[in-house]
Amino acid sequence: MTDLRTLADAFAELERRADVAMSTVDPSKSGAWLDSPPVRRRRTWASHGWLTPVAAAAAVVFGVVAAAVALAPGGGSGTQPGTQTSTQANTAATTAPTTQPAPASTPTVPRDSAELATRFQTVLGDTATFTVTDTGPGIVENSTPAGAFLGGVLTASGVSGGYNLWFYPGRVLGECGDCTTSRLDDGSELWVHQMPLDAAPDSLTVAAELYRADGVLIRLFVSNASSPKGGDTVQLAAQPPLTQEQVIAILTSDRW
Amino acid sequence: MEFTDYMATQRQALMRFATVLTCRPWLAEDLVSDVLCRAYERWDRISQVAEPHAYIRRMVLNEYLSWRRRLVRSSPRADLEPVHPRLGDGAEERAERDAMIAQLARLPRQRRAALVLRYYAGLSDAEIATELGCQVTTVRSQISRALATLRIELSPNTLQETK
Repeated sequence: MTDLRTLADAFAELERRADVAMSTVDPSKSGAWLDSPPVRRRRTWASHGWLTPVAAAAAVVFGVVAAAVALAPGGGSGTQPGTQTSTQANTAATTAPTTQPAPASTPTVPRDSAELATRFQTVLGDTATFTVTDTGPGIVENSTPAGAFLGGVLTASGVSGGYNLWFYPGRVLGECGDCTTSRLDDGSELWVHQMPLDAAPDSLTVAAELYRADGVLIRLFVSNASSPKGGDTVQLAAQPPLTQEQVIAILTSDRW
Repeated sequence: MEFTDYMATQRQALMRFATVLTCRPWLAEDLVSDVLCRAYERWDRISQVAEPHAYIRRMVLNEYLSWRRRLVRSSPRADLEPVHPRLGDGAEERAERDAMIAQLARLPRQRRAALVLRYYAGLSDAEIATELGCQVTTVRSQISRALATLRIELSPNTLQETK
């Protein structure tokens, strides 16, 4: 048996580890945070200045863009009947391929969520539509917001589910215990994972995070629940509206 | 309070709380980052509450409790090991402390949250019940089970103080 002193010691040690983690990116120790070289970043990314705060948006539906798309329509059998083409494959891979085509161009970080939404629709093409009910910066580091974030509901082939999309000057935050990682041709790193959600039985979030070698981070979480992170969420479909392969294709698209 | 002021004065405390809660600095950083982004968007409202830090700390707690990540690792549990292992005196105490951290990390999420809120954040059982959205009796049950799992024996004085 032990006593509360050991618990207090454990808390103190965890606090120390937190301080160590923070000190590795402390701008006071290494200049502006965007210039500090976290472990796996290849190159710093110039800031695009202060992000103009985006007020919480009412639901906005982005319609179909009649452009050529690289993605096959996705979705699953779902609880809603939807149109599906004969070319659809509805298998969500549990592991990512070990090699991936590298993104062809270097995207700039979007100025705000509205720009991110426009780009997202361009990348999706006629694969899917989405609503935007949550916006914000992609990250806030030492009070400096950067990049953009979108959240809402995405619909593909009649199947709907919640999504979260982040796009910001990025760095690897450490290890992801349940991720499958792969290295792209240009040195970028792709983390892929699937997560069941506590809040809704039979709910599933498929997620991919692309840590580009040029210092840009794009993260996309898509779920068959209304919120990809759980919490106050309800299940909307039997499966997420996009497969894991489609999520990966979106992140690695050269249309950003 | 401006958001910049909050970040300057409370970010470290928030990160510490998240790390104690999750036992994983990388997860804590992810949680805190997501929460601060949302807090930034809503700062006009949050800055008006009586205790913004307590509000944001609750956001971190709720974010942690609602997230479902499978934390099974195939690689060594590096972030549960000491970052700078030291040799010399106190090795037995450090081993005991590190074993406690490992056991803490294995507690069910809700139980760990209740324990951390009482013994790290110093909240009363009633306050913990509000934070977790449950009954006080549930809080006490969760903490009792957590202490039993961690094999922590409370002194008579401590038992009196926690009621």
